[in-house]
Amino acid sequence: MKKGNIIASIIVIITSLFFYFNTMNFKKLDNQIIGASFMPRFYTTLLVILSIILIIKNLSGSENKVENSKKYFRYSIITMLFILTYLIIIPVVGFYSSTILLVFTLLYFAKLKNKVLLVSIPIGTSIFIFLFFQLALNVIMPTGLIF
Amino acid sequence: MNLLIQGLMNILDLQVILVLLIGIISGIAIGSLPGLTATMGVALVLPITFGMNPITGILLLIGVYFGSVYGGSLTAILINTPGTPASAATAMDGYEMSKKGLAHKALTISTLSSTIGGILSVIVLILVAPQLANFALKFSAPESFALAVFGISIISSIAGKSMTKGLMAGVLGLLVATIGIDPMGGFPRFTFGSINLASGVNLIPVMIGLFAASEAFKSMEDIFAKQNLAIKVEKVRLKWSEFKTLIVTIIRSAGIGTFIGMIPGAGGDITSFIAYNEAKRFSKNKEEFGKGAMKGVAAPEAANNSVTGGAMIPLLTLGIPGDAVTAVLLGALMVQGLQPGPLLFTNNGPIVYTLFIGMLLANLFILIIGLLGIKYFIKILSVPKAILSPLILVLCVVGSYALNNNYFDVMVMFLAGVIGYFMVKLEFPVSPVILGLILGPIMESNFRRSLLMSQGNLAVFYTRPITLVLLIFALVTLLGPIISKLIKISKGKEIINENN
Repeated sequence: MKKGNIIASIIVIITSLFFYFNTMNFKKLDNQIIGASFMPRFYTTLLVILSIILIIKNLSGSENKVENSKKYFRYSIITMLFILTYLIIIPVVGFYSSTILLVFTLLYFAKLKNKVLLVSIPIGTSIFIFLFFQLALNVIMPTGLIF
Repeated sequence: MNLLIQGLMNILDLQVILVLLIGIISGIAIGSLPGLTATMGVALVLPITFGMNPITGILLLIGVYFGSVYGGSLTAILINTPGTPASAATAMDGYEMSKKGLAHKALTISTLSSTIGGILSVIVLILVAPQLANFALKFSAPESFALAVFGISIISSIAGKSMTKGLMAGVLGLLVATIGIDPMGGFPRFTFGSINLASGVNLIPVMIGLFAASEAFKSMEDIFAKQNLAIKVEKVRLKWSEFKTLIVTIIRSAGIGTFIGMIPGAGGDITSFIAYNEAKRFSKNKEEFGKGAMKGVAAPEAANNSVTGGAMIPLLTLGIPGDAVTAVLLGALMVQGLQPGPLLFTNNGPIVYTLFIGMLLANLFILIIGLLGIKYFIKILSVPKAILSPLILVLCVVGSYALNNNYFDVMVMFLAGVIGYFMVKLEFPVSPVILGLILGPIMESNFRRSLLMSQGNLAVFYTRPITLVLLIFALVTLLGPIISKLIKISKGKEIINENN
């Protein structure tokens, strides 16, 4: 995954530059010896240097190669999208109903065949969270606009 | 001695022992869940103790405190989900052991090291608390800065295969730690007008995302690839001969933990990393670390549990809390009418010694519960990944939300999970990020405070003996692995050249 390392380095460089330029607006108080921008600038400079080293190492082939199959990569991405959707719908339909929906979807997606488990795990999870977090620990999970 | 016996008599009360047990068991449950930290557990239980007598109330809190520090490592070892930041170091080798089928052994080592570490630190607390407390007070800004630098220098030894990647991850953590209100001047840095970012990026959601969520994303892939579907649990127990090789590591780590635990403000989270690093430095088989080394589990475990006794030293003798948990405990003591400080030992001698005995007992209970519970804890590994991964993902969401009842933390966790997934895929180590996040703020604020103290004179960093020693340690730790790697590479090239 030579390409992956190089892309990662480029992303880190861009992010660092963005952060670095952002420090230009930092104000320094008169009585301070070093201001708010000192450390962030030090870190971003280091990151850029390290990223360039990583790119050079990859191009020269001295960096260890990463063996990874890309074949199943998309399943992780789909899972991330499921979670993202879940996080977006929680404020709308409420925590408990979206959780039941999410767990069911993920279990189905993960090819769980057992119908009893497909139904009982999502509901059981919500009940556990309600009992342990909401009742025992007093964590009020977000309710949505609908429920 | 009389006081100790009196303390023992006070403890031997069924109600007190029961309360302590309940505290430990709930502590273990709280600690093992990501997002629920020792601090949170103790704070949650605090109101319940108001109605109790001082001994029972404080021992309940101590039970929760000790239990949750231990519990955090259970999930770190079994499913690569450190329950608390202090157990992030345990995940590095603990989870590797589990993957090899050695979960039983890893948990036994964790339980034994934890309790031995805990007990040793309480013994230190009983014997030399006042003398040590005075030494800890010598730690001013320059010393704390040097300690933080020393902590950060460990990045190079936990970097794994690629030093460049490890350092990048570490510096990235340090950079993220600068987000929020500047600790010295109050200037908002990289907050982009968001109120949520003003207090900085919270460490715990990042940790949950980087370790637990990323792993869960990855295991969804494994389900389809039909790879690593189940972690085998082999019936391999810890042998006495193996344990003997760990004793020195455990004692050394307990010493490190107790010492760092008693420095106010240093926090227990770094100790496990420092102990891990020292275990690696003293070990003959350095390459085993990161691949499931027993010492890699024993060291952080002994250290993070010995912080408990260490943190009690400044709390009880000087009334200064060493970290967030002890700050809550300070409140609890004061509610009970006990004023921590030099007079506590003379005014409330019997209660103090009862607490000491209670702490020893708490560690013994953890040993018993831990060893008896291992065969049940491991059951989690027999849950198919198709079921476990969705549940872990939901727990990540709930855990990061429960921390502050803030939805923003959940988003941070998700983002950290996605980034963590790509980091794991590209073989960037994630532990350095956590190390940077924990230590960045401590390092920066103490660095700037030192410069204010010395009015900009850098001599403050090399004229104070403790600071100088720590900074030299840091330099050796940081550059040691890099230099030895460079030497290896150049030797390797020579061999290739000779062969040609």
